[in-house]
Amino acid sequence: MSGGIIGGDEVGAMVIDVGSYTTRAGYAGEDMPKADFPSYVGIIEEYADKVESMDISTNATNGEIIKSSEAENKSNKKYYLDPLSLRTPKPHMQVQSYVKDGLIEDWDLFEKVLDYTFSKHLRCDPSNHPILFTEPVMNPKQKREKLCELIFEKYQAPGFYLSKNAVLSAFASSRTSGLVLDCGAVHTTAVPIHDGYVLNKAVAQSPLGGEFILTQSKQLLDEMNVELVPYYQVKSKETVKQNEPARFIRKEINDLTDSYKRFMLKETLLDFSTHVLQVSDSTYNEHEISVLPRISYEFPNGYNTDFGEQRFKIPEALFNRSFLKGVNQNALLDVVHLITSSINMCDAELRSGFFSNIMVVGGNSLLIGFMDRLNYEFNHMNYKTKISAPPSAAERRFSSWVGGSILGSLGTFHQLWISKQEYEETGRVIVDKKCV
Amino acid sequence: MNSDVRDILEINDRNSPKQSKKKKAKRLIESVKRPQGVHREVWGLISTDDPGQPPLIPAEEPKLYKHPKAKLRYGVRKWHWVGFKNPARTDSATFYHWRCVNDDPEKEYPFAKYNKKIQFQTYNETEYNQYLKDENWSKEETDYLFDLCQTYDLKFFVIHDRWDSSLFQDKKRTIDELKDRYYKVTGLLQKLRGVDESKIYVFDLEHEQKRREQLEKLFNRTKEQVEEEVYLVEELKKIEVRKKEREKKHQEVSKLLTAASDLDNTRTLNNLLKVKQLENKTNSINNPVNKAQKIKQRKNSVNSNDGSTSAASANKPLSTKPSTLPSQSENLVSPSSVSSSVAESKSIKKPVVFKTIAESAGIKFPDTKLSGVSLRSFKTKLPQSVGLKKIKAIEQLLDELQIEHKPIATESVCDKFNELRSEIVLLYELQQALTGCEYELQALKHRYEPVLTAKNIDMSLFDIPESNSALLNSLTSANTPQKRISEIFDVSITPGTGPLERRRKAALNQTNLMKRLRGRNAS
Repeated sequence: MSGGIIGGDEVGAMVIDVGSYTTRAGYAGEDMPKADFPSYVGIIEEYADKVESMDISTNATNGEIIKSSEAENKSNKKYYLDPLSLRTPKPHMQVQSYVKDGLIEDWDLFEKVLDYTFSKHLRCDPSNHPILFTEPVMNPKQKREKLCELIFEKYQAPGFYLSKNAVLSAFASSRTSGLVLDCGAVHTTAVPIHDGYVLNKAVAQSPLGGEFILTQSKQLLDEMNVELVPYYQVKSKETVKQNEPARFIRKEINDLTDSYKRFMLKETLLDFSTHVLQVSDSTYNEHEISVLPRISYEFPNGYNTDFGEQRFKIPEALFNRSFLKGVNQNALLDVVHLITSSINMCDAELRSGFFSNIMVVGGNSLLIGFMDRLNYEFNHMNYKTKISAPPSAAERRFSSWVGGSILGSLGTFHQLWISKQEYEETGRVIVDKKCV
Repeated sequence: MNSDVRDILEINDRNSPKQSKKKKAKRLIESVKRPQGVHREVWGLISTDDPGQPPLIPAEEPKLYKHPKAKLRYGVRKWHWVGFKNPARTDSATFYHWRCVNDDPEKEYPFAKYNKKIQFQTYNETEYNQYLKDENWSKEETDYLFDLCQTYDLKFFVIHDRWDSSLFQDKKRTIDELKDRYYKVTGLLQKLRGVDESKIYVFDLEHEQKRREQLEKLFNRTKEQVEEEVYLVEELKKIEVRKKEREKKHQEVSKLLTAASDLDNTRTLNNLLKVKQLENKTNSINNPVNKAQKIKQRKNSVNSNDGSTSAASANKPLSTKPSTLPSQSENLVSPSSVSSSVAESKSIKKPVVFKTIAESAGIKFPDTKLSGVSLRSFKTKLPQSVGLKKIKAIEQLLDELQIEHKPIATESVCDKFNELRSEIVLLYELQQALTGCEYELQALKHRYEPVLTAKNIDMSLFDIPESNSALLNSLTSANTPQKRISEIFDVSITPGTGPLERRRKAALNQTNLMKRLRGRNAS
């Protein structure tokens, strides 16, 4: 029993938190994940006759390439997993995500990622370490079972556990009850948690997440006739005055795949939205906002312009559905309604507790002014509300991983692991019994 | 040589401890020897023979930690990565953790003791069929409930959330129904097993449902309703504060009235005695009788007002007054009224000693017994506690009555003079209270005019007689309706006039007081 943490007992557990945008992996008991990499993988399909590519992959110095030769089959796939090599333009490289709607979709790809994570990021043999996985609230049964099977059959882990990411986020804020508002890349989800259990029937979800903000940003830039040129296309550029057309030399790279282009465009948009967008701190008011100073932003190709009320309009859609563009407005719930409707679905006895215990996590909540606006909206309610969020950006992004890290290093938790022995006795369904 | 070796090996030489001590002492003395270049005379001044004193010359010493090495209690311990079995687990899975080599390997896993399980009552087929059958619940459903209870450690919110009603023909269960069923079954089983009945938890379904309903209502309040509630609570607090204030004021007024009536009683009693004793000298006491009449008059006016401010607890002699009032108001100056009122008060109240009452209100003249010789006129000196306003009032009234401000201080004159002034002050206070009450009534009237017209309440209840004589006239009839006013006061919302504002207005009225007094006197 190690002495460091009260109630803690390290068993060398690993915590892996798969998200729509990035995946986090690290050892339980640490305060930050060892690795945080995009949930995207670059793939180049090659044919067996190109022998020299094999050499490259085996001699890969920076360990970014994993080569799989499937039983010396005719098609060899090269996978680019680390953030740097993923973003480097390469001909014919497809960028694929193994996560769809927050759930693991492409299992082969995910296996590759796990291989890579264990060997390069965590540098360990998974058969020596129990593994704690996070899962989204609405994870279907067969996906849980599949993951359980994978971990035990392929990686021979001594233990495995699945925990809901919202619950772990609550643990990271040292609470076992409360409402977690998870502002993720794909979804914004309000999850009521009671005594460490998710109240499944009261979960509210809306697709107004980070991706939505990006598409709205794209629409805005299209409307403004701004040509988005990602960094990899810019060879050199000159400084130009504001609103003047950009003067830059385009780097010509042939055979780039569409998926890669899309991925890089998204990255550029992400940069744009994190720097420019802001949530107005009270209900959107064109007149008030036009007084505020405009923010200037320089695009990768050197074109720069400033943004005024547009930068408020896009994230305003998170709070006011009438700002949605080109989407069916009625089908979506804004953030405030998400919270209130979720709480309203709970038992009357729990409601006041949830209102006074709202935890905001997730990368999308890092939009400037998001918390202020949320506080403003809830000041108007007649219930006593308290909204909290992890203080640092990293903690907010990694909150469920941090919660997993805490859980995985607790001395009292080690009775909950699904052990290999249990798995062998009961089979994959054990995950439904033990991880409730 | 030998000792050197011993020194090096740090072996204690038992034979030569003394020697070494001597040596050390010698060395110390040597170390403070006169440094070169210092004159002997100078050295003689600064050096002492005692080596324990701090050196005058700063000496540079190598800086050292107090403890060159951290002192661990048990030194460096070895830890190793070992497998352990957790008795809290149902299987015998081994996980690995770091453990101190010194720890007992057979020791139970320290966190296993936190694995607390709820003791569940279980039932078997026959028990269920015999005792636990319920037309509302099938056995399967009950089994399912107990299964969930076990899985979720009786967290009924979670159990209710996970309850899959599709398994039972979509029969929706409320959380209270689940609880009710669980506690009923458990209670029955416990009874069967012979558990003390007082220890069995009884779930009150009806109460819980009602409570949940109320919670729901409480939660569904609109913002306006919540605000209204807050507002009402605040208003209630205000009302209570006003009520207290009014009670306090009423106490003050009634104290004044008691004093006045007591004075009145004793005065008339006194008069009667005097009348009996000095039948021929009635003229000489005519003046005081007049005064008593006046006081009574004042008191009555206050009394009427007092009734309006909910004077339910008016003192005894006052409560009998109204019946005597008409005759009094008719024969203001006639001595017969005096005797009648005396007869009244005699029948109710025992005669009180004269002196003590004169002091109960008005001025309290200190019973000064100055040491040595003193002038008798000292007796007539007003005590310090009498305020400037009162002094002025006394002077004014004395002027009215054409009485000297400093009469010749014979024994009886002193007593009478003091008595007179005391009464003047009482009169003044009563008048003040009256104006205060009148003002308040006016204020309330203005405030409630719209409310009352809306409620169709007769405004005449609030009509205040303008002058005192009119007030007296109205007293004959106004007593009962005024009680009704008092009822209105108690239930209605307090007037918003702050105490400060009221005080200021009352002060304004006071300035008119003396004028009125004078006017009344003249009439």
